[in-house]
Amino acid sequence: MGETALLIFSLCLQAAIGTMLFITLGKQLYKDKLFKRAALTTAILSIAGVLASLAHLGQPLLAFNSLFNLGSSWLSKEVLFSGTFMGIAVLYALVIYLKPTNQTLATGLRWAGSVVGVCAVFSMAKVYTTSIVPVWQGANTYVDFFATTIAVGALIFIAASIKELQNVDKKIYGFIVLATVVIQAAVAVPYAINLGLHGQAAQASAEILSGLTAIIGLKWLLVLGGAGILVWPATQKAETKEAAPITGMIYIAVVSLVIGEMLGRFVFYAAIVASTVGLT
Amino acid sequence: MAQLGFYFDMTSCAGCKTCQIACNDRNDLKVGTLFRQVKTFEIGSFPTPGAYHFSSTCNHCENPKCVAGCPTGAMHKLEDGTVGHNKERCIGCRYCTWNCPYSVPQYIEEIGKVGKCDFCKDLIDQGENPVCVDACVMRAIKWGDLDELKAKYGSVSTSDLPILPLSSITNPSTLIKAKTIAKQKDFQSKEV
Repeated sequence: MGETALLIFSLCLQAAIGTMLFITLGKQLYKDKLFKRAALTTAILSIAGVLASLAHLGQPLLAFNSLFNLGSSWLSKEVLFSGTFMGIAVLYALVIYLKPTNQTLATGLRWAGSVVGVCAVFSMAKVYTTSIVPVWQGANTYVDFFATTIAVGALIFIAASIKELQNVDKKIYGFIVLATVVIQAAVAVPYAINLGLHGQAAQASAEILSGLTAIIGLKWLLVLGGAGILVWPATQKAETKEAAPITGMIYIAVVSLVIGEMLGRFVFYAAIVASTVGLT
Repeated sequence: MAQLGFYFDMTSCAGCKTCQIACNDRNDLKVGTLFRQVKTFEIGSFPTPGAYHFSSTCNHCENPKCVAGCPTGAMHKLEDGTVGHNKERCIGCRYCTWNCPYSVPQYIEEIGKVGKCDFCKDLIDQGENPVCVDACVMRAIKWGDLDELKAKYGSVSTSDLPILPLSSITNPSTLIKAKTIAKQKDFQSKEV
């Protein structure tokens, strides 16, 4: 597995961006809450993601060269948006912790982070769909990336904000996560089944995928299971003495979904077959 | 803009790999890295089997996806139409290896950057031939202005074969005089 750094980068960034989106949504719904831990998580995840992306490079010290072709390269745009998002996420966390009274700045950063984050996820998907790897082409990559962003982001937001969301009905978040991963599965499964119809390289990818059936099965089990736990009635109860078990269930949902999405991303990179003819 | 290109006469190629070795030697490539490669394909089965060899390198495409995708601009089109690679700018992101339909750019672990055929630019600037052209004992590889190559060999050559991606993706600047059997789809790559 030669793309571990990219796996970490894409998952961390998407998780961070998703969390930022839900912080923005959360602030619209509950203006008095700060969601400090969620903000800190966003900053840490985005830093981890950007560091992982540097580890992927043969020459990490020359990383700024990657901004030289913003005109035609989606990778250039991805680097710009991801780097900018990281900067905004770190600034936002600093403002929330050090100057929580500065609401104007916080609101500006939150919205800027959300918009730049969505652009980053779109650029990430474009990087893959415009490559010549058939298994990455098509709508599945967009759906997968945005679904991961929303589902993982929502869960991390809830897990990081358990105390602040104590007396809040979390059902809506549960249904958002469940609907997102159901759409993700509904697009991915037929796509994988029909992959063999799209030329030799796609057929080779389809063969790799058929060899990873157990991992793919486990992925969907964890992803759908994680989302399912969140909409389980017990998880919705207002916090009482049973707070600890409910918190535990939310953490289990997060771990289950994150591991599921990690397995999915592992399969995404493992299925690379660019061409059946060439120098490699 | 001018566009240089290669012409490969598959009907003359004996699969000796001298072009590949000459290229390796000139570029001082380590084992496992190739800027030109000869591959052998088998088609059919008894009693009508066949085989052919295909020598490939960078096609210096008219619309190279490696250039469009390269985030640094290290991959770039030169005035003679060839695709150059600026090693100083390359960051080793390997995105070109996901963008070239012919899997041409090679990631070289030791230097943390990619490398590829530069059409022996320094040699052709001095009026000489690329080393693969001079090394070929069968004179199966030629080079020149693509329009001139097309005028000379266009009627007997193609850029599309079942073993290759569609030429419409990047418009490769390579003309291939193919064996008739190379147009069959039941090919299998063979290690020789």
